[in-house]
Order: sequence, then C-alpha cells, then structure tokens
Amino acid sequence: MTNKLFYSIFLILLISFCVICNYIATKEVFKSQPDWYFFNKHSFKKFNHILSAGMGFRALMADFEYIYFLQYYGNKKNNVTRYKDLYSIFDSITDIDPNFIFAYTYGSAILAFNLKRYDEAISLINKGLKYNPTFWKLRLYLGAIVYKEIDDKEKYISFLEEALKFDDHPAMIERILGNIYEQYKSPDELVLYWLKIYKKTKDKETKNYAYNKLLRHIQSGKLKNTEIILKQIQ
Amino acid sequence: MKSIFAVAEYIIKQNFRNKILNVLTIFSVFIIGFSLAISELAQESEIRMLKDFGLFSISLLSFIILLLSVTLQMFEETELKTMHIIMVKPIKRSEYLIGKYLGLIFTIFMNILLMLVILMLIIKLRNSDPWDLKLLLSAFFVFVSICIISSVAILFSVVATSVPGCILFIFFTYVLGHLTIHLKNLVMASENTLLKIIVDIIYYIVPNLELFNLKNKLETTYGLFEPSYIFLIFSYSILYIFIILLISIKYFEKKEFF
Repeated sequence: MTNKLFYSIFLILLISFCVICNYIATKEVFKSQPDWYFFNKHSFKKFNHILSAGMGFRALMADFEYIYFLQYYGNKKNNVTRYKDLYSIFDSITDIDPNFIFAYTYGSAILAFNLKRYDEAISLINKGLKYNPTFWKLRLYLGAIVYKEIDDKEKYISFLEEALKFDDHPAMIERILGNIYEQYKSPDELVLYWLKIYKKTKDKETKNYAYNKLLRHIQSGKLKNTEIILKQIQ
Repeated sequence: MKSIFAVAEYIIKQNFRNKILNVLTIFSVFIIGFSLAISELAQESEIRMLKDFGLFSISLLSFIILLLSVTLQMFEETELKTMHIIMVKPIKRSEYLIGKYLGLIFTIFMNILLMLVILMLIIKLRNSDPWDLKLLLSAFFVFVSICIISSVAILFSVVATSVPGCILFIFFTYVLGHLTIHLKNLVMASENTLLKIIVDIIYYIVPNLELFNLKNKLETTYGLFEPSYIFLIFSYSILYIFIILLISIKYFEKKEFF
C-alpha cells in the first residue's frame, strides 16, 4: 500500500516537472519565433508548404523550390515572357522559409539589374527586411536597387561595392559590377578587377566569365602596364 | 543491471543480424551520399542544401529504422512466441523492457552516428566547416526526439495486440508530435475554453517533437540554440522518456501471456 502511494506521488511529481518543462520551452518557442512560424489563418498558400511546415522540414522544401527557380531561370524559353513568374517563385520560396536570405539578395538582383523590374525587386527586399530586420546587408541591396531605378550610377555602384565585401553575396553581383565597370574604367583596372573575381569567386560560371573577360582584355593590346599585370596573374 | 545489458545486447545483435535493417542502413548511407549530388543542383546555396537534406534524411531514416526494429521485435514476440521463452527465464519484466529500450536506441544511435559522420565528410569535401555546432546540436536532437518516440513505441508494443496497430500508433504519434504546437497556436486565438482545454490535454500528453526540431533553424536569427533552451528540452526529454517507461513497465508487469 505504501509502495503504491509512493509510486503514485513519484509519478505525479515527474509528470508535473515534465509539463512545466514543456510549458516553459513552448513559451520560449512562442516568444522567439515569429508569427509565420506557426499555422495561422493567413499563412501558407500551398499544400506542400503546410505539409513541410507541419512535419518539420520547411527549410528543405525552400531548397527544393530554389532548385525549381534555378531551372526556371536557366531555361532560355522563359526569356520570351521575360521570366514573368520569377517574382511569384521567390515569393513562394520566402513564404516557406522567410529566413532564406540568399533568395532575397539573388532574386532582387536578378529582378532589378537583369530584368529592370524595380517594384518587384524592392517588394522582395522589403519582405526580407520585414522577416529579418537584423540582417542589415539587405539594406545595401535595397539602396543599390533604389539608386539603379533613378539611375544614380555613383550611388548604386557604391552600394554594390559594399555588398561585394561580404562573402555571402550572390556571384551575380560580381558580374553586374564588372559590366558596369566595363563602361568607364581603364583596361588595366578592369583586368585587375576580373583577376580578383577569378581568384575569389566560388561560382564556376562567374569564374569562367571572369577568365573570358581577362583573356579578351589581354588580347585587345590596350593594356598600359602589361608587365605588372602579368606578374599579378602569375 | 547485468540482465538489462544482456537483453540490450541480444536486441542489438538481433537488429544487426536482420537483413532488412542492414539494407536500410546501407540505403541510408547512399541517401546521405546522394545529398552531395542534390546539393550540386542548388547553385551558390550548396552547403545549405547539403545540411538541410542531410539532417532531413537522418531524421526520416532513423524513424523508419525505429519502425522496422519495433515491428521485427513485436513479430518475434507475438507471432513466434519468443516472449514465452523469455518469461520463463530468471529475468524481471522491468529489466527486459529497459534492456529492450536500450538495445533499440543503441541501434538507432549507431545508424545516426554513421549518417552524421558521412554528412560531415561530405561537408568537409565541399570546403565548409563540418564542426558547425548548430549542425551537431540539430543532429543530436534528432536522436533525442527518436529516443522519445522509441519510448512511446515500447509502450505501444506492450499495449497493442497487433503489429500493424502498433505501427499505426507510432506513426500518428510522430505526426501529432510535430503538429501539436501549431494546433496550440491556432486555438490560442479562439475564445472557446473547452476547445482550449482539450487541445492543452493533447498537447501535454503527446510528445512535443517540434521543440527538438532545430534543423529548420540553422540559418535563423531567432536563436533557440541558447544553453538554457537546450537544457530545458533535454530535461523534458529525459522526464518524458522516464515517465513513459515507468508506465510501460507497470502495464507490462500486469500483462498475462499464458
């Protein structure tokens, strides 16, 4: 009888501690996670989003949607419509994982600098800032896009140069900035820039792009300090 | 204690002897290796893809290994009547159950460790840091959540009378474990008190697996990797497993086999 009573009290105590731990941890989750983390009336437009958020693999689902974007953007047939679905694809990626920072920077760079759809690019960056207010690098991209729209070359170049200083920039920024430099920098300066990109970039496509640019400038015969540059290349 | 380890050893040997589980282990190695190929598709986001896919595979495959292992043991105990042989041996029922649980989680631990090491090697191959604390913690809590589900599986294997029934119960516990936090958030805005009470009861009975789901938060700025939170969820897991095993032992001791 005493044993039974002791066992019951012990079990009740254990359950109480367990419930308390669960309660405090849940409070911590509710406090730290933003609204979008949980199901609510306004969240999730697609079934696969509900499924992945419910089963705990939302980051992976965002990755798969990112691969879909790469395939969509890589398909030249979509150029006919100027990639009209691009914004909705990025919207979907960042719906399922609003912390996917690279999607905001890459998406906005394509929309603004390649497709010249500034409103959509700004809207995407604003969404990124709403969900990641502490990620200040997004403001660099916003600045670059805003000044690109009003064609203030000096300002948007300075924003892009600032963005380039951080390792997590999309490789596309390197190509965009290089192409802007092509319009007003000397061949010597351009060779040094493409050389730096060739050495530093993590993207194979950008590496090839920088290599071809380097070759073209060297073969053009317009370089003034050929010896110094060749030394750098070696 | 000796008997507990003897049972655990028997369960581990039985699991490693089983062909389906061995094939599944080999398959899990391939799946983790496949993350190298799939990350190749995610241009400029390879490391993120690698970690997400790797952790998801670890979580899914360890759950499948658990399901198969429980099925295998239950089939042998009920259909092949091995339980009758064990019952006549000088071993306490509680020792048998604890040994069974330890054997089960050790099998899963070995599988998770193998998958994690391969994932870390692939990350190293990709010139990134494999010793990322967030990655290691996420993998550790995948193991902890599987330990919780294993304790529930032990309870169901004692209570349930058929193998398919037990598997269904475990599967639904896994799904509910991830969904309850969303359910709680939804009813918090509701004014229906009865509904709130019902959801709260379900919330505190079903294991709260979403607390351990750190794999979605590898790149967030919202924390949840703080030591206080880690300590809290770890304590919760220990308490939950202990309670479920206690209940299982109580039920198992009263169960009649002959």
